[in-house]
Amino acid sequence: MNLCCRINGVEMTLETDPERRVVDLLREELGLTGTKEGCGSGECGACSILVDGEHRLSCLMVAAQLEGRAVTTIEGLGEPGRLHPLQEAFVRCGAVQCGFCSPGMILAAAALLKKTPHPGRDEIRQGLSGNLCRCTGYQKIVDAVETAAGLTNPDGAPPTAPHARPALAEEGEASRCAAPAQPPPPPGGHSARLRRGGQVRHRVLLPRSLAELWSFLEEEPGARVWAGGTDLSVQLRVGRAVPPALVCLERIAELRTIEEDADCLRIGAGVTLGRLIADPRIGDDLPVLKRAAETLGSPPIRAMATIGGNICTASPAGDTLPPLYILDAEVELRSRTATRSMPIGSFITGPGTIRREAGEILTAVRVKRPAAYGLQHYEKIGQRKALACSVASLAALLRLSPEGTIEAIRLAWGSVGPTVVASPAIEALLLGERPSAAVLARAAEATRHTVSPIDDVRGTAEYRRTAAANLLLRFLHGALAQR
Amino acid sequence: MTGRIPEIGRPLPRADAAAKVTGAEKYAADHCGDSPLWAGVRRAGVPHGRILGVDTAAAKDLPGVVAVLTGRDVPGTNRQGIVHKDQPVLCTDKVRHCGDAVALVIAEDRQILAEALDRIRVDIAPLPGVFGIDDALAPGAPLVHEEHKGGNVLLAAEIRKGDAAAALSACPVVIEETFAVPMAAHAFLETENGVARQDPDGRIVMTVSTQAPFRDRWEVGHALGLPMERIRVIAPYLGGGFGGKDGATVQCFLALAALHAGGRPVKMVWSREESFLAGYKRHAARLWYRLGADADGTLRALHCRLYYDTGAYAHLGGEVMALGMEHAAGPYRIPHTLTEGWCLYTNNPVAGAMRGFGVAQVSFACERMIDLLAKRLGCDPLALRLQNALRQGDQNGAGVELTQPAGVASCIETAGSHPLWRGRREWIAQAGPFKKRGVGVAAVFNAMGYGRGLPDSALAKIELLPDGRLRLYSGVSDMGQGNTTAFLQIAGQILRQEDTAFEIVLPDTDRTLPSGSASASRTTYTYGNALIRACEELRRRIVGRAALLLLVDTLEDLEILPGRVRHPATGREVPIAALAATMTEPERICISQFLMPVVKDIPDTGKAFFIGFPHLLFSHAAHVARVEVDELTGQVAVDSYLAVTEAGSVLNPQAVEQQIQGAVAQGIGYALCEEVRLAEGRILTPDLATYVIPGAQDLPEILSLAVEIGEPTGPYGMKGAGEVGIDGPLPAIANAVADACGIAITRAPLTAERVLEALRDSDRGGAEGRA
Repeated sequence: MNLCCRINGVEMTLETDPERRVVDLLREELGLTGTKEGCGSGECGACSILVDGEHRLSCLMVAAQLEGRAVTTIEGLGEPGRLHPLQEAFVRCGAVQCGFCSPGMILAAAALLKKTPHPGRDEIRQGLSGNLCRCTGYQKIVDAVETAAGLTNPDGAPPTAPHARPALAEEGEASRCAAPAQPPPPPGGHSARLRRGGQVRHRVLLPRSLAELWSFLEEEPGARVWAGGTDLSVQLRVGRAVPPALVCLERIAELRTIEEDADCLRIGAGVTLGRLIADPRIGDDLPVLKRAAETLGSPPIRAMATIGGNICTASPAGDTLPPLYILDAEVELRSRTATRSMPIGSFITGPGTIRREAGEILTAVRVKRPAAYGLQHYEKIGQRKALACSVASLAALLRLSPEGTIEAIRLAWGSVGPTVVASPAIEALLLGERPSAAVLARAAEATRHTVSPIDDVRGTAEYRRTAAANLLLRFLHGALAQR
Repeated sequence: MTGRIPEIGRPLPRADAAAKVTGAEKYAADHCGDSPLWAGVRRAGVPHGRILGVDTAAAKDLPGVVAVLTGRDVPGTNRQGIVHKDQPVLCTDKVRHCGDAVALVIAEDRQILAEALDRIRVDIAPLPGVFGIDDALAPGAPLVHEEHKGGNVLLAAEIRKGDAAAALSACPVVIEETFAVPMAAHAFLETENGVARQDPDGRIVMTVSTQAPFRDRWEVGHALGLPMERIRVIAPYLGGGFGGKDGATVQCFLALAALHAGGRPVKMVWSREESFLAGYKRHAARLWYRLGADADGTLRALHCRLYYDTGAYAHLGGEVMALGMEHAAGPYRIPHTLTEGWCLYTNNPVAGAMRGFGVAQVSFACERMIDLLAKRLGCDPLALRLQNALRQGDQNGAGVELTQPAGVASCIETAGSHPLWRGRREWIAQAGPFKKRGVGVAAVFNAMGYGRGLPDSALAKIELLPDGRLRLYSGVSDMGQGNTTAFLQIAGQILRQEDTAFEIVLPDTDRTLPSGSASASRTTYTYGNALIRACEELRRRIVGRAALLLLVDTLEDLEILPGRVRHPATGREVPIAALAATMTEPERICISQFLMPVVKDIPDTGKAFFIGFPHLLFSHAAHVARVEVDELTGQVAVDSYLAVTEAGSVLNPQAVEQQIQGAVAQGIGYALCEEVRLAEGRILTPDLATYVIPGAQDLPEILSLAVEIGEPTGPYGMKGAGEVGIDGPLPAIANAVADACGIAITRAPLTAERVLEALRDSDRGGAEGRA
């Protein structure tokens, strides 16, 4: 395909395979080897780039996604012969050892400072939590970002003129560019099937509307539909998925909105977790969902992954699922001809299995505002703070009476069963009770018997059972202590 | 580059930092050449088996496949290995671990390569396997190497001092415990990779991410039957090494591929999964300790038995165990010791060098024992360590008299007077609900250099260029440890030139001189010492030439300044460029060799070790960890961390902090979450999603303090600081968790699950909970 995009400020039309990984495109076709590959599956952040100013992982993107976008790699940050303040700070503070993570780390820091110009050390650590470093222990990296933040004006623009080049392109900038020398590609994907290396390559289609999507889906009934690509790219890389075509939903504006009416929030399936977290309506009304989303992956993963993807992947460890269960979320499914909806618990039927028909996509999830609950809670046990698959999690809603009895309670556990475990029985056991030690012990014991976890590499079933019960204990203790 | 004179003792930003932060620095992975071919290998996928056949026909038929090779196509001995040549490049008769290579494919691109590898049919008849220490030692166990005389025992050895058995039976207090540490992975961000081509004259030129370019040449030459001088190895900056690139990874494959590539460059890059499968690992080990002391805490005797799982091939296994054994008694005065070790072949991944080379394992056991003793005696664990700390003139646990300064006592004292230790009770008392807090200490040491029997040598070369600039030829890889910058500092200190006047040549077997591997905390010590002599000679020559031109009678009357030599008495100056222009090449090049000094009075023990015993020089440290344990989940969080290090004098405070903080970070991973998990030789943690290394939010602020005690033989008094920092975190954290919860920690890593289980066991009363 002919790909029109802007790379480090230069308008380019590239002849490339649409499903070529962006990291390969940058390194091997454009010689931009400052973008490194450390894992190929979004776990290390070495391949970080900025796309329209936002932190992205180039190993989880295909070339077609760059159409019309502005890409900044490490080579595009700063001026030739002069370092960007972040680069300068990394050098001065000793934040560079082997240096293999440095380009990605610096771009992650640039994305962080754009959003949060004066972050505290914890915020810096959180902002860089998608980028692994094996040499430094991160301390001098945090020092460097702090130092650079001091040098940077509040609007994120570096202080001196030579650094003022818009390294961080704004969204949509690329589309303002001069017409490319070659005719622009048709909207959406390219239709050629490239054959190289004896393998049939995928078509990559990027519909810009639902109408366009339906016709693509008719054309390519076996297509794999995806939104953020954080799971699919990993499957493609190891050959676990070999669909004839890929249909990427990221350009369909209808899927990327959060709308509200009197008692309900309708979250488009294409809303990224990053946008979900940043939306004040989610923070105000659904803090349990926000907190869960904050624990998913890492900043660049959240900038790519969507809530619809998290639902359709239907992993028992899906971080947004326990909150959606207790919020009685309804999923909205659409095809060319019909729209239907159902409770999320009916939609997800097992690990990785959902009730989506051919020609249908998940368009939104509707969540009622749980005004009746005073307390919303989410806790996840992972093997580390970020980039952690849930070992066990608990989402909870609670209302206590003025006397301290439980008036309303909803509980759902993740990673302790084939799907999210919700238990009306345990809720009933607690309802109307004043949570004494005996009541808590009964609820914990019931939890141990209700969940049905398995052993895997992250934990045994027995640990998960205990942890699930203990997460409930902590929640109820905390709720009582707050009173 | 700053335009300043690099000087000893001042923080100096790295010479390589600017090129790295702009993405300009080219690592081996970034060298592509013109339309390179891609090489890859088909791995066995079974841990132990007899090869019945390798059918490559379907792969060869694929368009775009240049060659498919098997063991029969390997021209030389087809054996790699640093000490023992027991590892086939491509297996011919049997496979001994899942990562063994059975066929090599060269293809036009990576997609074709992947498909060709997939098309190879490998017929392997599985053999019963040896999947751990007990399996290896079991009577009648299957043999990993039938031809090896010792069966599955690669090396059995002992270090004996005094009469441990008799002394133990006389001790009023004896503690006994068994510990286990996991296999661990380096998880450097740049996986094993390189690019190679055959020149028209037949030479193989390869650019590889390697810690030992000079040794690689020898290893490749041996395996492929090529004369060493027909191989050139270039080692750019590495994207991490930590020991995992000390020894052949891609080298033999690349050279073999280059022989079949018609002069085109061939690239090989291991995927992350391949790196976990086939890359070297830190040895899993079991450590049995019996420690005896007087009632006043004076250590009297130690008996330990150490078992190291070295995996399918010898690699550096025996040497790793030897160093562990040499450190088994810790940095303490113990009159009677008996350390027995068994390094065992298994069908697990190949273990080898990793930062803390065998020492990180024993430090855990030794330092837990000291805490157990302190608990038994009811004494302060830090004071107990200080009471027994080795001092210069003492004999260490391996029977070597410490002729050089030893700073472990100073480290323990500094740690003990720090608020993190002194204020621990108040901090512990402030734990929130469901949290328990504890503070732990560990004292550790780590030898520097190869040890006796393998001369630790470097050849430094510095050249005054005809234009007056300087070219420094580094023969030791920089995997991120920053030795290149230290070399620049040394050269700047002596030659008084600004950093911008220097050009650095990274290790290249054609251009630089053999200086050993980047390992054993030796790079700055050994090469630095050689470089001092080379730079001093060059300085004499520059100043000497100026004396001739300025008609000055003695060199002492002249001073060397940036870009010029000056005669202060008269104010006359001559530019160095002008001097250089009058000098012939032999005059402008200075080369000097340095050999690390060795122990003179060798103890009459450790006779089984081939090389590398004993050591003369050690760096020391005392670490303090504050931890908080979540009683509901078992999760351990390190709240704050102090590392006090004695590694001689400090050349560059920033560089030492980098080494210490980085090593502590890896050590915290080793303590809490890192474990290569295996099921019958198959890796269950094949990627960075399942092999969990710490992220930015998982580590505390790591305070690094240096205790400077100059080492008389060191360059400007320094000793290596690269490894000692990794030996402390596991024991310090384990001791802290034990302090917090009263549970016995005998097994690493301290995963949430293990800690929670130990907490539950201890709640149930009876036996103390164990993790």
